[in-house]
Amino acid sequence: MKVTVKLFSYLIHQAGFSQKELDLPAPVTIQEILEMIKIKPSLAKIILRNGQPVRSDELVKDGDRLVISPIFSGG
Amino acid sequence: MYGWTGKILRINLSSKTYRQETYSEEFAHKWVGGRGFAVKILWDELKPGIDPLGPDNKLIVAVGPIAGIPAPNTGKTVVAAKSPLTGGYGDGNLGTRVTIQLRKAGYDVLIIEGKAETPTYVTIEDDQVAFHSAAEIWGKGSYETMDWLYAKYGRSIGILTIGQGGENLVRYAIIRSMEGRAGGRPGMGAVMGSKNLKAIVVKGTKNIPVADEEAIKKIGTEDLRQVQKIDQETGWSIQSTTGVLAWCNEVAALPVRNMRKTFHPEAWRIDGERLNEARVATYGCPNCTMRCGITILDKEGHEAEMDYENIGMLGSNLEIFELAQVGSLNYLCDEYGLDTISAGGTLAFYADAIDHGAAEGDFQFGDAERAKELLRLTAHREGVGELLAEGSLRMARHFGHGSEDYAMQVKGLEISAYNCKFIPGMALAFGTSAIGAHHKESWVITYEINETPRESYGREKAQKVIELQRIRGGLFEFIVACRFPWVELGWDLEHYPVYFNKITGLNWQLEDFWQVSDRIYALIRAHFVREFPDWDRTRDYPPRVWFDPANADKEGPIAGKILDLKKYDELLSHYYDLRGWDDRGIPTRKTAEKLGLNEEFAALEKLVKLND
Ligand code: SF4
Repeated sequence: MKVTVKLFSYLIHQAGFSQKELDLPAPVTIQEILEMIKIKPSLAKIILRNGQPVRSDELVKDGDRLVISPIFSGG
Repeated sequence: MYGWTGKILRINLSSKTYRQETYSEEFAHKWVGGRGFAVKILWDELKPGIDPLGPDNKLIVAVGPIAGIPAPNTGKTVVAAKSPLTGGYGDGNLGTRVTIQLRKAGYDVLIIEGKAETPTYVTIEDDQVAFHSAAEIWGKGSYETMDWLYAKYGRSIGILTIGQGGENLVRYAIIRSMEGRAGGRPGMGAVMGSKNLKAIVVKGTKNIPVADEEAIKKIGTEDLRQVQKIDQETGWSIQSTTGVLAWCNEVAALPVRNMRKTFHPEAWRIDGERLNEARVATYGCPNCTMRCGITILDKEGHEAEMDYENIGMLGSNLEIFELAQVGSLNYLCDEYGLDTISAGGTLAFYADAIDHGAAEGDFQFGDAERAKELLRLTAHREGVGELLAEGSLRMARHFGHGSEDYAMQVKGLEISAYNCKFIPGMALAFGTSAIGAHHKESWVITYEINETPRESYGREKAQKVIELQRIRGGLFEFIVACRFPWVELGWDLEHYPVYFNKITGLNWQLEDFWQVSDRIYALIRAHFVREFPDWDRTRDYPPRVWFDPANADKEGPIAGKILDLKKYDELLSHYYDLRGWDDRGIPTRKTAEKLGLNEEFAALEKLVKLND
């Protein structure tokens, strides 16, 4: 199962990449993906799956695009 | 009274006189400081209808009880006046050593009135005020002016100064201090310029009166360390505020091409990662360990201190994706003392108006070299700069041809770098921001994208906008401190009453602060209504183009979607209802009474009929 993960701001520096296609065994939750890419779940404040808000205990599907960002205000 | 010096320094530039005044404990408790002091003083002392660029306007510099105390991010000062851009109350905050020096000199507020006969700068050293000729620095940029003042008075002084933009009354000229620090978007720099005041220099030697000095020292210093630790652990300041650019591009909220588009494939070239790679220095405000000022070398080799708003408005919104060129535009705005957001918004509007045949000219999106030249013309009010110096709304009224619909502003103040063509709650935040479209008051976009259906116009969005306005446009603007530890690092809001209580000896809870916030919002609104007695709710509308189906994105995550005016209106009604304002957006008599504003609203009632 292929899932694209896109990270923002300091999560990029924590995980060591800004965008990656992950090859994952199903079933897998977002929470588990966070652990795999070494991001503290408490810092992943905004998670969108294919543009829609999603809870971290939900399962991902093949082809999903996850957008994960911490809080930030922009100025 | 602890926490407050209880003193105001009033300086009259016409008569070159000054005097110390005291304020009461009741005043301190009712308005707390910063924005609260400023709005009340300007309400009491300005006559409606005065020319904001005439001698009758007053410039207020105000700190709050937390300002300057060693605790997280307390180096901010509020500057305020009647705005030459919006015609209503205007203010801004900036990080500056003035915060600490003013407190040490024994004041919480400066009131600057009148107009100097010739270019002047003022020095304040404890009880002494001196008026000096600014002949040598008038006409100079803000960096050069600061260097000149540092050379004369030493580097520990606090400085507020203006560049050529303020001198030449550009309606969105800001006040500058310390490296890239700037504040007062709605033309506070122009107000200084209109008074022939080039700079204010402050130095103090007294102690700031604090109720429990030992406790605040211990807690404050420890918390500064804690905030630094969280920052280091998370790595927030690697990209600082600019981390949001890539996210805005992803969720279709980036300002591109005068906000006609919401994302751009080249946006990565100016995002936080690229900025961090280009970093040559880092600057910050006093009493701050987060230091968010990422500095790069611009095209010409100057140091340019960047944040997200600068890059969004001077970069993507102008379709300029060369980082060093965005740096150049940023540097020029700082040097000339122009607000980067309004400058970017105004230039983008100009290019858009040319594109749509409403104006003639040779400026196109993506033309960085011409943009630089236009900033120079603006700051000096030369050629087309005379028009650009007026801001997008006045330009649109000059051009006609329906261009006002895409002048991206609210109440005359240009919208900051979030494109809300399909983000209803954030559009409401811009619509109801107290001083015009400013992001500082209610940054609701993450809540909205993350926790609500984006397309909803539910009451909870209005509720959230108010909740954030109370914190961001209220609490942090009147205690006065930088909101970033809370916003960016999740530093608990409960810390702030602790600091406040240790400093003042009072026993306030967060709820007590919300009451002050609501009072301030009501009085700022009253200010606007007093200036524009025909006030109606359309003044809280964002630009028409956000409701125009022809302007919907053709591709991407929000393709075909646009704000709905009828639903926006309903959301606005929720907002008014929750605030206790009538359907014109004017606080009711009952609300005024609840907030202790009977006297102010009785005066307002002479101009405008109020509802119960
Ligand atoms: S976080 Fe940035 S804006 Fe806030 S006090 Fe620190 S340097 Fe200034």
